[in-house]
Amino acid sequence: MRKDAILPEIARHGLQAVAEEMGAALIRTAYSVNIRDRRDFSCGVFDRKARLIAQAEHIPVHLGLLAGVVERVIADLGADLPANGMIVTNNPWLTGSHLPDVVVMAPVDHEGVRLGYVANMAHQVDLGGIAPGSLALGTVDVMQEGLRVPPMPLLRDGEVDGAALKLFQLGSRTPDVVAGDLLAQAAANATGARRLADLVRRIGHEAFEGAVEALLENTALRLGQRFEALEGKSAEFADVLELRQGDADVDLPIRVRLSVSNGQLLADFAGTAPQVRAPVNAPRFLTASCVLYAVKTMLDPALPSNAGLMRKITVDTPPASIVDAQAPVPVALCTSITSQRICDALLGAFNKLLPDGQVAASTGSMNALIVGGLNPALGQAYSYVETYGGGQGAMAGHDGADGVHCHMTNTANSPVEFIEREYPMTVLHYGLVASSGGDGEFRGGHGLSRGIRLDADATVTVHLDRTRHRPWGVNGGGEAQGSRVVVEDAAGRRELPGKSTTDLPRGTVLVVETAGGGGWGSPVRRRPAARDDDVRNQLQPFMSAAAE
Amino acid sequence: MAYRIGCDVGGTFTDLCLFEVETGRSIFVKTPTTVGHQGTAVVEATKLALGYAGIMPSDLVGFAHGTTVATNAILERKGARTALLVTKGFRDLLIIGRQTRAHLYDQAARRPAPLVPRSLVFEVSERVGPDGQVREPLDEAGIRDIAEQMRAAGVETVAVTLLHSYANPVHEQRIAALLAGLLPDLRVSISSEVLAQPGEFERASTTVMNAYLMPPLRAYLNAISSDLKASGVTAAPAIMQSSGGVMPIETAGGVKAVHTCLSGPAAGMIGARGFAVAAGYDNVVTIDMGGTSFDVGLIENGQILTRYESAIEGFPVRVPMFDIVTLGAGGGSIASVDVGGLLKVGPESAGAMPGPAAYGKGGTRPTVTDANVVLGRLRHGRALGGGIVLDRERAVAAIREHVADPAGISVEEAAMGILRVVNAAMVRGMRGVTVERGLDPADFAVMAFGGAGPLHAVDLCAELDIETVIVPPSPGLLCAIGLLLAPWRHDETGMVGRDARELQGGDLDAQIAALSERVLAQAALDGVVADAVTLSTALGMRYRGQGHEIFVPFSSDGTLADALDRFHRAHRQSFGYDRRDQPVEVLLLRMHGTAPAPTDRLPLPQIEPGADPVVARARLWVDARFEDVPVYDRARLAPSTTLHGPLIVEQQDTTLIVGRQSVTVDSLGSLIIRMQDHA
Repeated sequence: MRKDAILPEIARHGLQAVAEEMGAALIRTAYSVNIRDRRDFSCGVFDRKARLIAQAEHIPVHLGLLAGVVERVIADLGADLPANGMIVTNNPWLTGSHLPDVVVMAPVDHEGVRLGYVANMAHQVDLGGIAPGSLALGTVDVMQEGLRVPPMPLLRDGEVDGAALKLFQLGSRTPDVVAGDLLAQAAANATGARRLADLVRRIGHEAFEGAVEALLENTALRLGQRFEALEGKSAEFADVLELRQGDADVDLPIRVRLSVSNGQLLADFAGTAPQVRAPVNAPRFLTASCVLYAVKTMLDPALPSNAGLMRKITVDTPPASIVDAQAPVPVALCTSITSQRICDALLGAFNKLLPDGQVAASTGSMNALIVGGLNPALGQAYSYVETYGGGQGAMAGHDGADGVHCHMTNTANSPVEFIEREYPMTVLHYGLVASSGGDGEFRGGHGLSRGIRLDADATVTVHLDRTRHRPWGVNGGGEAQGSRVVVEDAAGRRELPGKSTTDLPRGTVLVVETAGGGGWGSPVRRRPAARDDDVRNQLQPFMSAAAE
Repeated sequence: MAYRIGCDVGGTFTDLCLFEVETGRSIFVKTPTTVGHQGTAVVEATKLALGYAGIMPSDLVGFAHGTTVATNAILERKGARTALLVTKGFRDLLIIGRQTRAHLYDQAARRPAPLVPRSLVFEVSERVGPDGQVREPLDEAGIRDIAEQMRAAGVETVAVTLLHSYANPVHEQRIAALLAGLLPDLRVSISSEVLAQPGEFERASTTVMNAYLMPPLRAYLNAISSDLKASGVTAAPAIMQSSGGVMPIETAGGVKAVHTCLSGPAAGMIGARGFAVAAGYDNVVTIDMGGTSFDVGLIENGQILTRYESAIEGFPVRVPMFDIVTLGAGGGSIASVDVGGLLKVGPESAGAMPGPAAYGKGGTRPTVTDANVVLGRLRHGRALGGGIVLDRERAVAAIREHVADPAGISVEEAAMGILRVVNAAMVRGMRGVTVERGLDPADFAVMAFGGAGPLHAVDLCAELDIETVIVPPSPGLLCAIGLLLAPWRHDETGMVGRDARELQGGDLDAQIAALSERVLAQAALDGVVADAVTLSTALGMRYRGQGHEIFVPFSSDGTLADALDRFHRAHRQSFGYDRRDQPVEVLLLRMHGTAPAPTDRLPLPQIEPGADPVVARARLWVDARFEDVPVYDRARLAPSTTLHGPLIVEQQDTTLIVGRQSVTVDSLGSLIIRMQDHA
């Protein structure tokens, strides 16, 4: 039969619409701000062989996680998903993510015939563990991180399984929100299942399957074409993740060797640090997700997100390493910090393969700040959580963007006026860190600085990286200024460790500065006009003012 | 006899409708837009219409105008040299925005550079708390230094956005007064006047946009106003706002400049609603497909959906606008076969230059328009104006070379494939727009306009299970007609920010009174009598800790408990649940005043009586083969005619394709296609 050039593209739009409608349903029914406003979720559509055929991702780190999840769960259960039901799990060794990322999946059937599956992953507010939010530092195993649930029915015969819902509620500090968000995840799947069945009916079952094969094949072909120029080449790069163990600073190397042969890309992480008794370990599916991100961003940003991608890519990870964690080590920060460093290692290796397409290192962390305590005005506990962007790495023809989220995340900030209305905090400044981007023909983006005065006693947790190892430049470009957190109270000024939890008294001033992005090309080649702009726009330090 | 004019300036054409108030008789004029000095075409079109009607300029009692001056100033970055003044410590407000990047995977993608460069952002020491208390006095000496720097830098206009000014505008107002004394020629826009609600980045972005647009709008509106006066028109022009209301030019060139960004499209929606409601349809999805874009709007229960959070060219703008979503598909979208052998349509577009291959203007790559030409939906030899005559051979050649041969299929199959793919993209967009708003497209009728909307509407509706398509009598003149139907409108916002348990109904009265005073003051400035103004109030509420408010109506004689109950019910309807045990925060008070439009009559259809409506026969591709079908001239289709497809209806600016459905002409000349009447 002649290959159909038209139906696959029609099916692609239809499938993408299914994934997007699942997202719309999730946003409309979810309880938490995390899902509704920060869009910390992704939705996927799968064929009857459990292969990902369309995805609507809002967070790049989810890109590769959904791809194999249905297949892995079926293997774990030892049986296909029962009709008219839904399965839930948050086991990191199936989802590839940390415990708060919960996956709910559903089979799609029509008149007894399995058409495919739909699934979504969403970040739940709290699933227990030693600290609110289930993302604590100081843990040594995953049991301390919270509730871990193997694949189990959330719906049976179309009815919610009360015991499953209760299990999640009992394991959470915010039982109502978790129950509401789980039901929203189920509602999204119900929408997706209905729409997928409708799409298959319109197109015709056999024609649909042909179109799906063509779509996956097309993605693989397109990626294969991108690999052609790299055939026979290989490159290696290592970067480091910072950790503090006891009173000592420890560096954990992440090493990757990329090689292309016979049209296949191999990403081999041999030489990466062994796993640690701290929450920076990543399940290998997360590592694979970073590989997919790096491939898309370096080779073809518009490449469709489907299982065709994986046909041309192999990921090798040393077992029991920080890029292939084995239970029960803790994994809470794998998405916010480890993923960013895996990404940097991959980009470093790609830079060697693609001399014309080099990109400098970006801020390198999601830079989380968590402030909690008792709000004296309301007599209630509060918890402020925000992730801060930083400088983007420069590339040929473009300065890095200033003060943005880079690579594996892209969530919005909290407006200063909302922070001051909601929490006992005063924001003293919020701006770019002066001269923090790496110099070069094209300069790196600037990091962000926020100064906060605590108007009540508080417990402050920071998740920073790149405090000692600065984001690197490429092609002769300079490195960027690193990140740091400084506190100033009656006892004076001091820096806090990049990953730490500290009790601070009312009146303390806290300044978080995130790292900039590295520069591209020799600084002497920077155009005079660009230098003039830099001067005219006076990037002068905020810290000097705050330090007075 | 009294007459009114609605005149809309679009990117390509300036459209004008002269309307006889008592009878509904109308004269339409369409003339090329004079780029760079839009006023010339407006005055010319006005003179032409007055000439056709044989009336005096002084017979005009109203002149409503839709303009793209604001849109063009933003697109071409040709607004005024603008500065921004902020609270000390927050100079990078515009650069940081919400810290999100433009594209998840494309490292080179960037958000647009702010309209104010960092070198023109000035910081002043002052601090107001979220409760409105002054925490740190305004550094007035600092303002003098800043004024000097702005003067030296040649700043024409300045936006002032201080933290928490929505809670207490005292410092912003003081700065405006100081600057008026120091730099009398400087135009000043303060955020508490443009948008009094929390969210400093969006408020600053909106205020900057207003400041940036004030000078060019003022210059344009003053010029057009004096030109019209010089030609004897005594009626003062009224300018269309993005929210579908009109305002006088003094307001449009000042504090409400930013309200003109969607001036023309808003008028189009008003026109669309007029014909939809007249045809008996209250729930309508509007599709406006042109050469480069596909705009989707929604009318629910006879109300045009309005949104308060939008972005223009990537810049957040928080003023009320009709909720029109632009998707990137049009007649000019280019088709190609990718490396894997699959057909793709768009996102690249041939635009107006070189345009589709069939235009013969140098375009050689196949577009959606070319596919329509190949399949006989747009007839070979048809003149489109501007000297363009459709050439089927060129369309065939382009599709053969770039699609049919690479894919190994016939030219007709390829053309049909292009239409199916672009329709699939548009269906996805239409589903997205409705579903994201909690609506099911199958509950709506579709109204199609724009040059290409009626070409595709029937196929789109079949995919969406929509039962009815409406094509208004003059799809290319809806904006001009809508201008005649627009009411006066003014919006105000006030900050409440209180827990509902602490609020007594009476607590809101003072604030409501203050807002109504502001609305009525604007009405007085705009020459609208207070008795004609209808006020509507809504409360923005949310469960404590949520990120978004839901607005529910609040009447001055109602109780807060009623409003709370409405909030819980609205929350359940929108999100599937409510939480009556949770504390509710009353965040914002929103009020708008409207005064009725001068008329609610629609122009009568202009039918050429007695002539045979079938003007030609054509070969149209239907169900995988060419069929001989009649071509009707829209101008000869009398009300209550019913036709059975397949057929083509042509008119000056658009073409309707009907498959196996039937078409009826209603009393106002709208064509109503019923999808279920399948032969």
